[in-house]
Amino acid sequence: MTGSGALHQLAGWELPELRAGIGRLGGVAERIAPWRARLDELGRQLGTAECWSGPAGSVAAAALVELSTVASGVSGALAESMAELESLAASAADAQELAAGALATAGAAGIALDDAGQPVGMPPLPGPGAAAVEAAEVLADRNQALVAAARAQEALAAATRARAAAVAAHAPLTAIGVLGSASVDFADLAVRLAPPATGTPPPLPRGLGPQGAAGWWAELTAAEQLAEIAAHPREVGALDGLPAWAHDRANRLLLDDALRDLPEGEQRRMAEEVARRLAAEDDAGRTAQLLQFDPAGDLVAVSLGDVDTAAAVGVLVPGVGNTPADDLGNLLGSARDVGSAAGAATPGLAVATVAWLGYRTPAGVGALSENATRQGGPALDRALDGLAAARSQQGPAPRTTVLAHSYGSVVAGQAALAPGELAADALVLLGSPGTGVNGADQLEADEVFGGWSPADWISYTDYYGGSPFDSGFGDLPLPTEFDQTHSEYYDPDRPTLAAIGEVVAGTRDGG
Amino acid sequence: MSDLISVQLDVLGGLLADLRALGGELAEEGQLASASAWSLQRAVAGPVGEEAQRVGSQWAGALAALSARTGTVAATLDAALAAYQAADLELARQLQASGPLRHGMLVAMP
Repeated sequence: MTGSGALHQLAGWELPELRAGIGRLGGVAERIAPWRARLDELGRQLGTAECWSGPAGSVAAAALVELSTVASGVSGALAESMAELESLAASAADAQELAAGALATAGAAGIALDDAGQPVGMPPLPGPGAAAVEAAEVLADRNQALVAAARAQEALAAATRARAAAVAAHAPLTAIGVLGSASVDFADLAVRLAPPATGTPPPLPRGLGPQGAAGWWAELTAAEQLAEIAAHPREVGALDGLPAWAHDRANRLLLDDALRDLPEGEQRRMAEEVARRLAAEDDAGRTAQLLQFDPAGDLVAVSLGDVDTAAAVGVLVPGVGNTPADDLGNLLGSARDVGSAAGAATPGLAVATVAWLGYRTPAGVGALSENATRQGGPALDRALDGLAAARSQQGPAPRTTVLAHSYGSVVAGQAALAPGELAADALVLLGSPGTGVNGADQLEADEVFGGWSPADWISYTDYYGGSPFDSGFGDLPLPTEFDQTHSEYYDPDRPTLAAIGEVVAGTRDGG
Repeated sequence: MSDLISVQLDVLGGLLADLRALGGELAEEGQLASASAWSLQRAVAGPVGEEAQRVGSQWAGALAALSARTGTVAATLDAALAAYQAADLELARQLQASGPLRHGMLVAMP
């Protein structure tokens, strides 16, 4: 016998049941992060002045922040513990396999092994007078017994490793004060995991991609996240990979600053238009999120619907001559129409549509160069990566569709050509003057749909390379009418919009 | 501290329902962890299984603590919601009792 189990006991371990049990615990650990995300969302709603203002409301919101912070610490401890349990499973599998093999090997030689793995009943070495055949058999049995004993020792060593892993799996929970099932007090956990805020947020990471930023953010406690937003709204608002609510909260702080500080001029005009559009949504009780706000760069992105929880997300990328100050309203109108069409395709579907003006669209003649796409394509690529990374922390990613109109399809093509896969399930090209690639198969989306019309001369210029107008482009055609002009793809009176809604919802043939 | 005290009672009620549901979900996770702990002990007889069972019990304990706190916060907010409603009703009664209202200004009391 050893401290980790007897050899015969190891051979009888039920590995499928062990794996199933550890797998169930893994599922529990994985569900804590989405649970905390929902708790945080609830806390944010509770903390808004519209829901409950005053001292009691503030205390209630703080109680949920504390709960979330403790949940974050518990989640981290469970994840560490889980890693050790997986190690336990691997060592236990080794132990069981080796123990069973050792017993079988010994049994074949007619020899038993004791619980410490030592041979029992080993035949004595043949004497000088033994017949050659008999002597050879005895020697073979003895050799097999030694092999079996060696395997048994390996099995026992693996069992020792399994026990060490089990002991190590205790440690993360013991460290936060969890000693057993019946002796855990939340107040004790809170003392360890949610100390009073120092007012100093953790430093912002540098050089992280969207996936790294998403992971960094998810590991912050709720209190740290709020402190980070308050201390660094500009950086948080622009960091791809963070959830939409964080971008929204940070960018609204920047918007408030802009409205307070900016002098008369184009930047202020842009800020006022953004504020006007958001206020209209807020006043109507609809969810709108300010995903990007950069008045100096004349860049903005606004979602209608909650990007953090939507099952389907549509990102509208406009073409030339669109500016936030003059065209955000129209683009949001199209976004609303697309959202309604998706809702009509799948009633009850949680949809968010994004008016994405995250690149400076060229004005008129500027469209004849691809300068705008050199920045716009990678920017769109990063924004999509960021959306996917943020959602990956909470569970399944939403179905994501990029809706590129006119020159926006050139930007979408450049996004596809940027390093890494395009984080979109579907790409819709509307009135495209080209994509910069020769075929739909180069656009990195599983589904590529296209719409063009004889009345839309831009859609058959192919000025920037292949487009849905080309018979061999490889897209799935969307319905249009012969007299449909360049600006009518999102028109509710045209057949294209309903089809776009089906694409966003994922119900269109080919989708 | 804000000078304005306002409560959207229906919104708060909805959030409370969500909070209770979250607490319930975590309680179920704790029970699942507890059941899994015993499953580990059955699967791996001996000292390793005993240790693994204790780990699973720790998981269950931590989840139960979070679940209980969620329920406590929800119950406290529930009481606050009821208190707001009762206080508003009592104020209305007092105002009505303080003097006759003009004709046509009678307010239906629940």
